[in-house]
Amino acid sequence: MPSSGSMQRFAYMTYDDNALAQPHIEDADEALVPLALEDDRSFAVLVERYAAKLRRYVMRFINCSADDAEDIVQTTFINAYRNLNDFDTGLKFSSWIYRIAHNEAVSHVRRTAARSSMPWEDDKLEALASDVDVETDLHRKMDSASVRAAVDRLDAKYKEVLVLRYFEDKSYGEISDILRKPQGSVSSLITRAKRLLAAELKKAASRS
Amino acid sequence: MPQESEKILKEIHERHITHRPRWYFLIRNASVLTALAATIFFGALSFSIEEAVLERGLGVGHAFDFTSLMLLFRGASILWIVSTVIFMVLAFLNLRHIKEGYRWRAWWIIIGIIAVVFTFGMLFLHEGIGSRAESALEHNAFYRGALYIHRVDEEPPTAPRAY
Repeated sequence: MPSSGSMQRFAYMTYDDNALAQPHIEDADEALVPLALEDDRSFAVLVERYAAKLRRYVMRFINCSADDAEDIVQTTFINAYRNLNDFDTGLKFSSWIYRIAHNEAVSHVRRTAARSSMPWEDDKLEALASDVDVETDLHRKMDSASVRAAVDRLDAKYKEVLVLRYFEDKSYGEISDILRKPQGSVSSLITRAKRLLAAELKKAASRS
Repeated sequence: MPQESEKILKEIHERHITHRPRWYFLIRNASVLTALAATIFFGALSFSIEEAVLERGLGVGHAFDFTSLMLLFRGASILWIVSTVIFMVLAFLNLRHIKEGYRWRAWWIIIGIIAVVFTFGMLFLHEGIGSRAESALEHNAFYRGALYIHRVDEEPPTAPRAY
């Protein structure tokens, strides 16, 4: 009896022995990884799924230009292609690719200090601001630019967990896998980040 | 094929980038695990030698008073304490690099390493490995000349001596 993994693969294959099987767009990422080792079309599906997300994440995380984000994401996928045999099936593919993108972004920051103006979704900024400011409605008096500025003033280690949690909607476990930190540390970082952000928002509100 | 992936795959093929083979990662991971095992082994050995040195220096039956305890920081003993600590630090760094190593909190790793090194160290001491290793080192002129330890009931020597 074939394993569930191989059943997943056979489910989409055609019966035409002369044609290569087309990767099915609904296949789970983790099912596509072993196929990507043999067929670039499967790797192409993974690229199309994650390119835009990674670009947005990189721009939010390190405030770089669209061109720099493009370069970083390209390097990310090249490294992923090279190291595909190192993919740990115990991890989600998204955690793995985000980890590579994160590391590339950090390397980029060490080399340059580019700045950009990536727009952040207002609803996500609002959700973050209301989450850190539960005692007052202070955040309602502030525009999204002020909230974003407050986030930008945080240390990188706090900003990265807030971006992953509130803008990339990653779970604590996924953030732990992406940043290679214990889950308890991630939780502590997010708590401290929210506290610091609340203080920044109060300072910004009192200035205005 | 959509544009984004086409561009990336074109770059990959132009630069002749290929997948690193599985055995590359297996060897890399095995190396980290081997390094971890080695650091724990040598940490435990250092600890057992240090205990053996203390036993020789303090002598059987001596009370652990302040003077005796100061022997911990003299001569050969300090070398093996430092050696144990260095190997435990290396074990910690190796553990952080194994695949799942990042999932454990630093305190738990430190406590775990101390416990493992202590356990194996006492086992080596019990089996006489620590004292045999220390005795073998006595034949080394540098070790004998550079380090010394004195027994509690003797006057400290004015110069390094063999024992």
